[in-house]
Amino acid sequence: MATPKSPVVSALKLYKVASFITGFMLIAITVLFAIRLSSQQELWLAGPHGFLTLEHYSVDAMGNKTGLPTSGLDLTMVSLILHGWFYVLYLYSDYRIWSLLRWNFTRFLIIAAGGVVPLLSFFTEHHFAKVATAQIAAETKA
Amino acid sequence: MNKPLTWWSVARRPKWVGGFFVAMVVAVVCGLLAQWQIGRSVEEPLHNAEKFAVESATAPIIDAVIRPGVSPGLDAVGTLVLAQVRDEHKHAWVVAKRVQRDGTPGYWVVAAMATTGGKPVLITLGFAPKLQQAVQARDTYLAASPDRTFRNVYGRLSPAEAPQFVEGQALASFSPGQLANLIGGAKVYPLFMLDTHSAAPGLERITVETLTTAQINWLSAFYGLEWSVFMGFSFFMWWRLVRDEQQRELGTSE
Repeated sequence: MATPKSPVVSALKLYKVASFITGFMLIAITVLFAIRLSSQQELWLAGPHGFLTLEHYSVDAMGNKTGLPTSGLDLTMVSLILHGWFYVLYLYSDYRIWSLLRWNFTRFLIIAAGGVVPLLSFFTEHHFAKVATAQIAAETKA
Repeated sequence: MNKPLTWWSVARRPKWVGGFFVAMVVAVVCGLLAQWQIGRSVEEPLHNAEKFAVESATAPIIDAVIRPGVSPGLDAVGTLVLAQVRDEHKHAWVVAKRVQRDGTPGYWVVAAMATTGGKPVLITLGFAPKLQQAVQARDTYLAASPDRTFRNVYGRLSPAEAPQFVEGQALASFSPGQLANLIGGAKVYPLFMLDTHSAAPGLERITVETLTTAQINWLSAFYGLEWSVFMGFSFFMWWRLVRDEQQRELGTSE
């Protein structure tokens, strides 16, 4: 009988949590990246113009961004970095359930793709969490 | 069962040797991406005198890089170009909110000059810390009579800023598109030339190098690290897939 603390149950929990964080962060960075590319602005926290503002920048002769505030935090950049590391966590959780439930490799790749294609993680999470729950239930009964 | 099935004997099968090559290709791609990001993670300071000497010797003519009224190519910005221009002394402006390399705030004076093709190109004339000084230099420049001869100007092609309001005597941003409207008529070059090696009378040389020391681009640094992690992960997955097959076969043969 799988107790709530069995490795596979906690792996599934980690996957669900990581999947939601990655999914929402991916939506956030898609929007922020669209703002960056379309109008050369970064989302700024606690800068000189307010608590949460959009700040214009220009690109200098070497391709570096200039004109951004010197105080506060560049939330566009921070979310890109954070998404990157949450994706590493997401990939680890993908690996954990894939490995514990002995799924095939294609499934691993589909779940991995969920963290980079906007919105896909919600569908993969919905589907594979259900598959995993059913499999865990079947195996504990046997 | 005669011999226990080892991991190594599974890994040597053609299928898993192929798998190893796939893992290697993935790792190489991740490694190249890591290298690319790490290369971007340190932003070098802009040009110095030495670099200028080398670059100006081979600087292309402006028309080889950008054309009037046409959007610039992706790699145009930052190119040091040579332009043969004639001072018409007809259009010049003061641009506010400029900062020298050492942090001195002030103004630029910029002028539209005519290229040999007759099209106007915007070139910086110099820097002044005080508005009065900049306005005076602009007026002196405008008061002169048009030159007959062309002269060589070197400048780094720099991107337009978003147009902003005209604040009194000065423009709040440097936007060639906005200035094109003020000039009227001919199509202007879409980028301006930043001349950091000469200055018109009454003005200082512009020193706009935005970076004086190398800076770290944290986004690239972290992405570089992540690609390295993925590179290792590629081999780990290969090892793991081989082990899974080995254990599966050991399990069924018992």
